[in-house]
Amino acid sequence: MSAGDAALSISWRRAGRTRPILIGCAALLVIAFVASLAIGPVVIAPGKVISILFDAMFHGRPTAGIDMRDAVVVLDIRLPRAVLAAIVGAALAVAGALLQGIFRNPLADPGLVGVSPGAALAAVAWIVFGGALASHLPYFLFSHALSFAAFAGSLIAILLLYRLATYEGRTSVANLLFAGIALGALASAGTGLIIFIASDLQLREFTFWTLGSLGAATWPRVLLALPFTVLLIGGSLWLARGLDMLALGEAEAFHSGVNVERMKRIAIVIVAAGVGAAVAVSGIIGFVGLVVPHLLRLTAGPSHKSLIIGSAFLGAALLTASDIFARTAASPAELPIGIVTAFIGAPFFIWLLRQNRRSFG
Amino acid sequence: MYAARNIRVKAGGKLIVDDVSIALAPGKVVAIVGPNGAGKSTLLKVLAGERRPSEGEVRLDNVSLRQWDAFALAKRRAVLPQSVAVAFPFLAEEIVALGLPQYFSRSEGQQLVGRALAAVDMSFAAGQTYDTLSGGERQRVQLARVLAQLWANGGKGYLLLDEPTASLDLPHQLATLRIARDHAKAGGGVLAVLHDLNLAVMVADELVALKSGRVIAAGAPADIVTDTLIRALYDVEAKVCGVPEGPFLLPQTIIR
Repeated sequence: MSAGDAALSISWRRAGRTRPILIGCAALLVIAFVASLAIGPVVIAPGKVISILFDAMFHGRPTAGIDMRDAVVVLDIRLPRAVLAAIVGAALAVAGALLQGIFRNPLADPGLVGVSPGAALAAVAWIVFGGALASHLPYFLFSHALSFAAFAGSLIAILLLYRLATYEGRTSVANLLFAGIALGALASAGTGLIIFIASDLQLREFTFWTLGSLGAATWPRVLLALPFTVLLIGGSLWLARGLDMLALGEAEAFHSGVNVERMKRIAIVIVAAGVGAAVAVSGIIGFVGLVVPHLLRLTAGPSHKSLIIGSAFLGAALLTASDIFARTAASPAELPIGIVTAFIGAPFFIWLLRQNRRSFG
Repeated sequence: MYAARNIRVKAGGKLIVDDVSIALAPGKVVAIVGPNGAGKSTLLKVLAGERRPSEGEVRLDNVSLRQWDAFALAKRRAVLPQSVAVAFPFLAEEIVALGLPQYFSRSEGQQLVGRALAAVDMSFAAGQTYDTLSGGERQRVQLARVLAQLWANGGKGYLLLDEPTASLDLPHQLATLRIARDHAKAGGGVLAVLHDLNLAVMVADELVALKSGRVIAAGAPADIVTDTLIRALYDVEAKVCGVPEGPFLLPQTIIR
């Protein structure tokens, strides 16, 4: 190439900005994570939290006195919950980014378009009616049955949504939202009906569960959600370049070398896996998948690789921070975390609609 | 060689493309002309591999298009659609970079994207959001993208253009045709759907006149563009004039 060609080079205007923003999101996650281990009925200094974590990793745990109490609080009570919040937040945010990429629309949020309610319906149905089946299932299936039920519910919801909202490869915003609202309402009505049948004891539990709570966080639950979330994030990163091309349109993505149908099938399955796992362990938590990718698109740009990495970090940070608020605001009682994220997310959503009134036509 | 043989496309019980054969050789520019609804864009979609013909076969490099996967096909041909709406706020330079293979290095990409934007006279807009550009500017950015796609893969692939001049002003119409010619000169092949017969005559080695899905004339512009063809194609009485460069059509002769 000649010197004249070099002179025409462009500069990648966003390249210099993306990396600091991603590092910033990762830093926010670290801060929120340490804060969530430090804050609670017993406040433990952040430095102490970090030394407890390091000691547990490299030396073993203290066995007596106030150090032991702090270690128990941090490692046994708060750590699984913080990890679960981070996993669920990352899953929801990345699922949002991926759904938005596939639907070519920034309004697709798993909670808003009926995917999470679909997962919740299936999970609740399993809890109430699954008992009869449980004894016939092999142990592995039985122990993961709630996740599989939620996965199946979200998969069915996404497939229905896709069928209803997409016509000849194009998704209209109106159809997407109407179909999503209808699916969500139907699924919520179904969930309500099952709760109506359920006993008084189950009722209270269900109400809290559908509003979202990380209160029941345990290591087995963490291990339940982790592989699905890893699958979702890894798969999304693998699809990132194709998602960028899909922004041009389905035909254009094909012209550019993307196997569009295969990409959509993979995306639908991994979103269902991630959302299903998130809902199975924490109920419906809305707006994370809407707010986080949008903030990142505004700052770091719409390229899906950075969008997905950033969404994983920022989604995890947002949900971890929301959980601190949820469990301390009305202490010793707990706010459902879905209420906290809705209070952050709904005003943001309204602002978003006003900002984009013209372009969403 | 890009060759379509006996292509038929049926949709909703109607025959949109009826027994069309067309060949595109490296170094040549072929223009498809014809009235609205003649099946031009559908034929282009069939050649692009985007749409399966009901009958007939398209072969690229002597291999049936059915056996090409999307990834391999993208290395051999690029397609410029009539217009492209982009879903998210990508910058013009990011749109052009979508034409590059993933393994391209950062500096290689910078040079190629810069060169493609310069070729369509859009260097000034490299850092602007695609949505903020005018219709003609968007179309030029898309042309830069498909050029980058071919250049990144050796520069000799096939360029399929669907009305590339439709939303452009006169200088950029001419510049676009120049790009098409240059691509052919560099050893690539160009197939363009064009509405402006004069532009088609200027740029094409071969014209294919399509009406109601059928080829009614094909050949060198000087041989086939006549009063009779214009009447047959558009049901318009017009006077085709001649200059040494080839035939031309003055719209005035139609109105007055």
